[in-house]
Amino acid sequence: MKNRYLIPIKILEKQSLSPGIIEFLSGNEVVLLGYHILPDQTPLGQASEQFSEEVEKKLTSIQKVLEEKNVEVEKKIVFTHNEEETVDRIASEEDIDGVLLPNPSMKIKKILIVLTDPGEIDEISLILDPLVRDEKYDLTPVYLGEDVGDTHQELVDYLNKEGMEISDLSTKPMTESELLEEVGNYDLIIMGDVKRKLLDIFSRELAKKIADKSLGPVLVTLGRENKLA
Amino acid sequence: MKAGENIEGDAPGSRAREDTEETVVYEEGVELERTIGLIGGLTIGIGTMIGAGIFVFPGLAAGEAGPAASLSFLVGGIIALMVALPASELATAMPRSGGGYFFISRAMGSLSGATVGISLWFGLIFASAFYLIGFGYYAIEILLEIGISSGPNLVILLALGFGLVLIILSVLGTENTTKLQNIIVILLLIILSVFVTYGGLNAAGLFGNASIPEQFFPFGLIPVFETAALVFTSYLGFAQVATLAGEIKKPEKNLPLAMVGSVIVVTLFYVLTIIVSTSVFGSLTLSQFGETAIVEVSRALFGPIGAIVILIAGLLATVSSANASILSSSRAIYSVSKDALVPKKLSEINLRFGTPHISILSAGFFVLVLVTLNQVELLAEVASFLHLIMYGLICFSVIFFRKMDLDWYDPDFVVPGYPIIPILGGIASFGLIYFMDLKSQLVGLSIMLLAAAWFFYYAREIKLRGSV
Repeated sequence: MKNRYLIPIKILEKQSLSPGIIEFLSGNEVVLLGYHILPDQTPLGQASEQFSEEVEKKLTSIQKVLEEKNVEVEKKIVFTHNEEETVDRIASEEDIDGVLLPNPSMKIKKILIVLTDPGEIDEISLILDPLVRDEKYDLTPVYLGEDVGDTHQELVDYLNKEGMEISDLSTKPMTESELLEEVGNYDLIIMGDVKRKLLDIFSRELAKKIADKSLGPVLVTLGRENKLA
Repeated sequence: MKAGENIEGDAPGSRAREDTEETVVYEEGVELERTIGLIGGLTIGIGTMIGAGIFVFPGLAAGEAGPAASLSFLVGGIIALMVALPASELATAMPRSGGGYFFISRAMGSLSGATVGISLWFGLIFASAFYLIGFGYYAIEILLEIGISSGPNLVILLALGFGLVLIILSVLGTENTTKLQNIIVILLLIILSVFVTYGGLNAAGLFGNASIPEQFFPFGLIPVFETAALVFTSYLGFAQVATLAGEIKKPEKNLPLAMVGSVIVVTLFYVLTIIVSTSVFGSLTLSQFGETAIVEVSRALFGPIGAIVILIAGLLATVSSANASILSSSRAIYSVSKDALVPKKLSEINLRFGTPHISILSAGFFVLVLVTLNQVELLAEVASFLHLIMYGLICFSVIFFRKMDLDWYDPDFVVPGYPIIPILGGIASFGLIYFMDLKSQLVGLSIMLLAAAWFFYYAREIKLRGSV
C-alpha cells in the first residue's frame, strides 16, 4: 500500500530534498508544498507575482527527480504570513498520512519511532506497513512519557508479527531530554500527531525540537481519515 | 504608448481567480493564505486610527472650538461611519487587496483611480510625518518629566531619529509586528478606558470636583466644523482594512465588522476623552498646554502617575500610527503599480528581507523631509484632505457600481439606506475639505494635479473601469 505524504518546502530559502529522502519516498505519493513566508506588512499578491514562476520552476525540478523514483507528485504553491496555519490547512485539505519535515539525509536506514499516546498506534502502524514490508530499515520504537502501558509492547508485537527484526530496542519509557539526545543517532524520526488540540501543539513543538536536534528528517503521522475508518 | 499599456509597455497584472474563506487562489496551484481574523482586522483599523490624533489634538481642538470640540470629533466619526458603510459594501464585492483605489479605478476609470491612488500614497506620507512629530512632542515631554531639559529643535530631531528607525525596521521586515500592534492597541484601549471612566465620573461631580462651567459653543458653530476638518486625521485608517481584504479570513463577514466596528470604537473614545478633558480644564487653559494637553488632564486627574501613563500611551500610539501608515503606503503603491499606473519596480520585494524595500524607502524619504517642516496642522490637514477625496469618491463609487450593473458585482454586505447614506457620506467628505485652511487645500490640490499629470504622462492608455 502507498503512503501519501505532505512535504512542506521553503523553496525560496534553498530548501530541497536530499537523496535519502527521495529514496525513502520512492513508490509513494507526495504533495509538494512550496511555500514562502513573508513579513506581515508585505502584500502577498506582490510576492506571488514576483516569485510564483521561480517557485514553480524549482518545484517542477524536484517533481521530475521524484517521478523518476516512481513517486506520484502533486504541487502546491502558497504565499503566507503564517507558516503553521498554512501547513495545517493543507494537511487537513489534502488526504495525507503524514507530514515530512525534509531535513537533509543522505541515506535512510535507522528509523526511530516515537510514541506519545496509545491512540497513535493505529496511525503509526498504517504508515509503518509499507516500510516494514520493505525490510531495508531498522526500526526502533520508543515511548515518550511516564506510563508505558501496553502501547510500547503492542508496537513491538506488531513489528514482530510482520517478521521484522527490531534492533536496539528501548525497553523503558523515555523523557523528552533523553529522547532529544538519542535522535541524532537515527536517519529518520517518525512520530504521531493525535488530533486533539492540546497534543497537536505538543507534538508540533516536539517535532520542531526533534528536527532541530537530529538535523535529520522528521515524519509526523496524521492517520488518514478514510484509512482509519 | 499602445492601448492598454503604460509608457514602459506594461499592462495591468492578472487578478486572482477565486476566493475561499481561507485563501485567495491565483493561477494554477498558487494560493495566498488569509491569515487575519476579525480581531486582527479590528486592531489594524483601531491601531491605525487611535494614534496621534487623540493624543495631540485635544488642546488644539479645544482652543479652536471650545468644549464643542467633542462635537467636532463626533462629526468626524459620523463622516467616517458614512464612508465605512459603502466601503464595506465595495470590499465584500471585491474581497481582494486594493482598497479605496481599487474601488474608484473600477467605478470611475483610470484617471480618477490614478489620481486617488497616487494622492493616497502622499496622504499616508503626510500622515506619517504628522504622527512622527506627535511622537517627538511626547518623547520630549518624557525627557522633561525625568528631568532632562530640551534644546530648541529637539522635537524635530527626535521625530527624525525615530522615523529613521521605523523605516529601517520596516525594510528589515521585523517579525511579529502584528502581535506587537495588537498589544499596543489593547494597552491603549485599557488606558483610555480608565481615563474616560474615572474622568467622566469626576466631571459629573462625583468626587467633589464638578466641572468648570463654560459655554459649549464659545466661538459659534463654524469652528466646530473647522476643528472637525483638523482632527479628522484621527479617523484615517479604517479604510486601510479594505486594502488588506485579500488577507482577511471570511472577508464577507469580517471586513464590514472590522471597518464599521473600529470606527464606532474610536469615535466613542475620542468624544469621551474630549468631554473629560474640557471638563477638567477650561478650553482656554487646555489650548495653552498645546500638543500634550491630555497629559496635563491626566496629571490633574491621577497625579504624576497619570501623566506618565498618558505620556507612554501617547508614545505608543504615535509610534503605532506612524508605523501603520508607512506600511500602508507600500500597499498603496502596490495596488497602483499592479495596474501599471506607476513603475512596477516601485513595489518590488526584496527576497532577503521579504519587504517592498523600494516603496518603503521612497515613502520614508518624503516622510523625513516633511517632518523637518514641523507644521503639525498643515501635515494633518493635507493628510486628511487626500484621504477625504478618496473617501468621498468611495461613496459615489457604490452608486456607479450599482448603475453599471456588472455581473460580478455581488456584495455580501449591502450599505443600509442606499442611496442616501453614500450620497451624504460623499458630500460630507468633500464638505469637510471646505473647512480646512486655504494653505492645506492648496497643497492637497497641487498633489492631486501632479498625480493626474503623471497619469497623462505615464499611463493614459490604461483602462480600468468595470474590470475585475
